[in-house]
Amino acid sequence: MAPSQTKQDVKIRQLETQIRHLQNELVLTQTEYQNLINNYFDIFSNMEKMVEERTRELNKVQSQLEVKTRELEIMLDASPTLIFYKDTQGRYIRANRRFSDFLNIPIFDIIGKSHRDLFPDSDDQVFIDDEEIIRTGQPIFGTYGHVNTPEGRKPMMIDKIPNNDSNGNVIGIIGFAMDMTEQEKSEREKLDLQEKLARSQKMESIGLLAGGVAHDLNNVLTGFVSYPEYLLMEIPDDSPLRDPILTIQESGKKAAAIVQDLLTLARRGVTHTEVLSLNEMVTGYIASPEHQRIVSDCSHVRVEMRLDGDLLNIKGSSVHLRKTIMNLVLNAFEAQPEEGRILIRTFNRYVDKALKGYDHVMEGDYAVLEIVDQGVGIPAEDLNRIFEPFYTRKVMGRSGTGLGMAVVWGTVQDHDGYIDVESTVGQGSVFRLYFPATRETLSRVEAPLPIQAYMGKGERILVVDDVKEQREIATSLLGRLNYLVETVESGMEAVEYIKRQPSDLVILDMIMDPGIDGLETYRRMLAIRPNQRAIIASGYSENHRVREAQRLGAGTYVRKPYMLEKIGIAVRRELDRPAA
Amino acid sequence: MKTPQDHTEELRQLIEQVNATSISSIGSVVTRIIAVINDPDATAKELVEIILTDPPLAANVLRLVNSAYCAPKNKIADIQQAVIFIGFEALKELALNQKVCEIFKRGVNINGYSREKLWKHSVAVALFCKMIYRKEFAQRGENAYALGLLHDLGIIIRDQFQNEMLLKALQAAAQNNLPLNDAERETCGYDHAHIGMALAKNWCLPEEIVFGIGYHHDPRESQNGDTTLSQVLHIANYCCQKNNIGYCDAPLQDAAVFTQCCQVLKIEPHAIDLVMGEVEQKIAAMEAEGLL
Repeated sequence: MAPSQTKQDVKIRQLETQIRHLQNELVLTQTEYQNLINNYFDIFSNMEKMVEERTRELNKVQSQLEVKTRELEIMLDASPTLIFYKDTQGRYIRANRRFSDFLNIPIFDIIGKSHRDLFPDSDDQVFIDDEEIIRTGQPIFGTYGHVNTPEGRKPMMIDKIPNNDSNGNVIGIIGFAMDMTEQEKSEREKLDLQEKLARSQKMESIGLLAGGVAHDLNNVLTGFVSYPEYLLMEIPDDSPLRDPILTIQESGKKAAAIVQDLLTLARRGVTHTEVLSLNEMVTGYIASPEHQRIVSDCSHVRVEMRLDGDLLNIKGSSVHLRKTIMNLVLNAFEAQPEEGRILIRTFNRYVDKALKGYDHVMEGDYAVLEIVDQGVGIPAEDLNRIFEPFYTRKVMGRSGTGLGMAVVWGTVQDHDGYIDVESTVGQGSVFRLYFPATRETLSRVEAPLPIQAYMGKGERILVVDDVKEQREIATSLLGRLNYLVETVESGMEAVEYIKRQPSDLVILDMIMDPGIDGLETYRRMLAIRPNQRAIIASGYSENHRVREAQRLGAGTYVRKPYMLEKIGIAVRRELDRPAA
Repeated sequence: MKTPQDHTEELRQLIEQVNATSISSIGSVVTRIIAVINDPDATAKELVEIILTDPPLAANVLRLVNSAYCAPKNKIADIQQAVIFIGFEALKELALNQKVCEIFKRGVNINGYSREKLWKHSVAVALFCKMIYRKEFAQRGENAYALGLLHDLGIIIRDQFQNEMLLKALQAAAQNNLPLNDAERETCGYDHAHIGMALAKNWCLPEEIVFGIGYHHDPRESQNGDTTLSQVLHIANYCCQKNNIGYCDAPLQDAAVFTQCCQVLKIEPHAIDLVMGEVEQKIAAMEAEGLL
C-alpha cells in the first residue's frame, strides 16, 4: 500500500465512518422524535385540561366576585350616608349614589376629582385631615364642617378611616359623611318648642296665681278707692292733705285696674259662645268713655278705622275681646310719644297656610283685627317675650298693669285664634289677631213683629199633644190668633181624626209616650192625605226623627215652650207656603 | 490471595452501612430513572413525576435547563416545559446525571484524590458509552449512559465509608505503579468494582449495569451472557483515561484488553477517534458552563 494511497484510504474510511455515525444518529433521532411527539401530545392535552380547569375555577371566582361586588354596591347605594373612597392624592376613586345625588353630579364625573373641585368655597376643615390620616394611619371621627352644594351650604358630620392594602400601607381614605341639615333643624325645633312650652307654662301658672289672689285683693282695695272719696269730701279744699289723699286714690284705682286684669286672666278658659261682630266691638270701644279719656290725653295721635262692612262674625267673650282691643290701642298710643297715627282695620281672611310663629293653623275663614302704629317698634329679641305677664319695656307702674298683653295673648288663645306681630324698631308695629269666623247671626234681640203679621184667617188646626196643659196653652194662643183649634191626645187619635175630616195644619208633639210618636203619626197621616201640612213641636233638641219628619214635608220645627209670636209665625209661614 | 467472594460478608455490611445514609434515597431515585430509561413504553409524564417528587432534583434540573448550556429563550418554570424544551431523552440523562452527582458531591474532599475529577471522568465515560452505542450500533443503548455514570460508584463509596482503606490503596497504587483496583485487592482483598456491583445489585438495577460495573476492568471475566455493554464501558474507560479526561485510576493500561474489545465489537480506530473528539468537545462545553 502506497503511503499516499493509504493516506487517502484512511481519509475515505474516516469520512465513511463519520457518515455512518451520522446516519445511525439520524435513525435514532427519528424514532426518538416520534416518541417525543407522542409525549408532547400527552403533555399538551394534559395542559389543555389544566388550562380548562383553571379557567373554570377563575370563572367561578370571578362570578363570585361579581356577586359580592353587586351586593356591596347595593349596600353602598342604599345607605343614607354619603360614602366615598379617596386615593392618597385626595382624588375621589369611588362614591355611592347618595353622594352623587347630594351633589347632583353623575358618579363618573366625581371619579378623579379632588375635594376642592367638587366643593368649591367649602370649609377646609372637612378635608384638611386627609393628610393626617394618610400620615398616621389612624381614623378620625366626627369632623364637623360645611360644604357647598347645588342646594346650598350644608352642615356635615364626617368619619374617615384609612384604607390599607394587604401590606398595611395606607392607599387612601374611606369616608362616611352625614348631612346634618335635618338633624340640626329638628334640634332647633325642639329647642323652640321647649321655649314655647316653658312660656305657656309660665303664663298658665301666673294666671292661676293671679286668679287666686285677685278676689281677695279686690275686697281689700275697696277701702283704698272709696275712703279717699269720703275723706276728700270731708276736708277743706285748701287742706295740705288733699294732694296726698288724691295720690292714695289714684294708686288705689291703678291697683284696682291691675286686679281687674288679673281677674280677666283668671276667668280664662270659661267658654263664651256669644256671636259677636268685631266691628261692633271696635266701634263700641271707640265710643267708650275710657277711650275718649285716652284720646283727650294724646291729641297728637290720630286714630283711623277701616272696618270691613262684610266682616264675618266670630264667637267669643265680649268682655275679653273689649279688653283686648283696649289694651292694644292703649299700647299703640303709648308707643307713639310724638306725632303718630293708629290704624284699626278689620277684614276677612281665608287662612290655608301656617302663620308666622305657628306650626299648624286650622284652615278656614278668619275675621282679622289689625292694629297698626307708627311708634318706636319692638326689638326682635323682645318680640317673643312681650306677652309674658309683667314683661314690659316701659317703666313699670307708670302706665298699664303689666298684664295687658298677657290678657291679649290669653284671649286669642281662648278664641282658638292666632296672633301675628310685625315690628320694626323706629317704624312701628302691626298686631294682627285672627279669630275663627262663624256663619251664625248676631245673638241680638230682634224687634217684635206686629201681631197682624201672623194673624190667622180662621184656618182649622189640629194640635196633637199627650200633655193636657200643653194642649190648653196651644188652644188658647192659637185661638187668640183667630184659628179654629181642635186637640187630640195621641197619634192614633190624630190619624183617626184626619181620616174623618181634613185639617189645614197639624201641630205635632214629637214625643208621646206611650203610643206612636210625631214622626210615625205624620207618616200615617200622609198615607191618608199626602199633602197634609204640619209643623213639629218639641221640648227636646232637634234630632234625626225631627229631620226625617221635615224631609217628609213637615215645616218649621218649633221649640217648646209655646210662645205666641214663635208659634204664630211658624203656623202662618207653613200655611202661606205654596202647595207642593 | 482471597477472592472477592471471600469478602461477601464484608461487602454486605458495607452496603448496609451505605443504605443507612441518604445515599439510599438517592439510589432509589436513580433506580427509578434507569427503569424509565429501560422502558420503551415509558412516557415523559412518568419521568416528570419522578423528578417532581424530589424537590432538590427538580430544582437542579430547572437550574440546568435554564443555564446558558441549554439557553432557553424564556425562563422555564416547570418540568413539563423542560421536557418540551430539551426533549425526553435529554431530560432522562439530565435527571440521572443530577441524581448520581449528588453522591459524588457528598462529603468532604480528602488529600491526594479529587471527587470532582472522578465525576468528570464518570460523565465523560457515560457520554462515550452512549455515543458508541448510537453511532456504531445504531442502538439507543438504554443503560450505556447510566453505566458510564455509575461504574466508579465503588470508589466514592470507599471514599466515604472506608476512607483509610482508600488512602492506603491510593498510596500503594502510587508506590507500585499499579492500577487502583489491583492496589485495592492487594490492600483489602476486594476492589471498588466489587463494591459498586454489590450496591447496584442491592438497588435492583438492571443486570447489564450490575455486571457492567463489576467487570469494567476486564469484561472477559464477566459471566453475563451479553458482555457488549461491559466491553463498551471498558473501551470508554480506557479512552477517557488515555486522553486524560478527569480522574485516572489506572495510569498504565493494558492495551490488549482494549484492542480485543474493539475487535470483538468491530469498532475501528477512526470511530474511536471521532467519538473521543465529540466527548472532549462536550466535556469542555459543560466545564465552561460550570456544570461539572
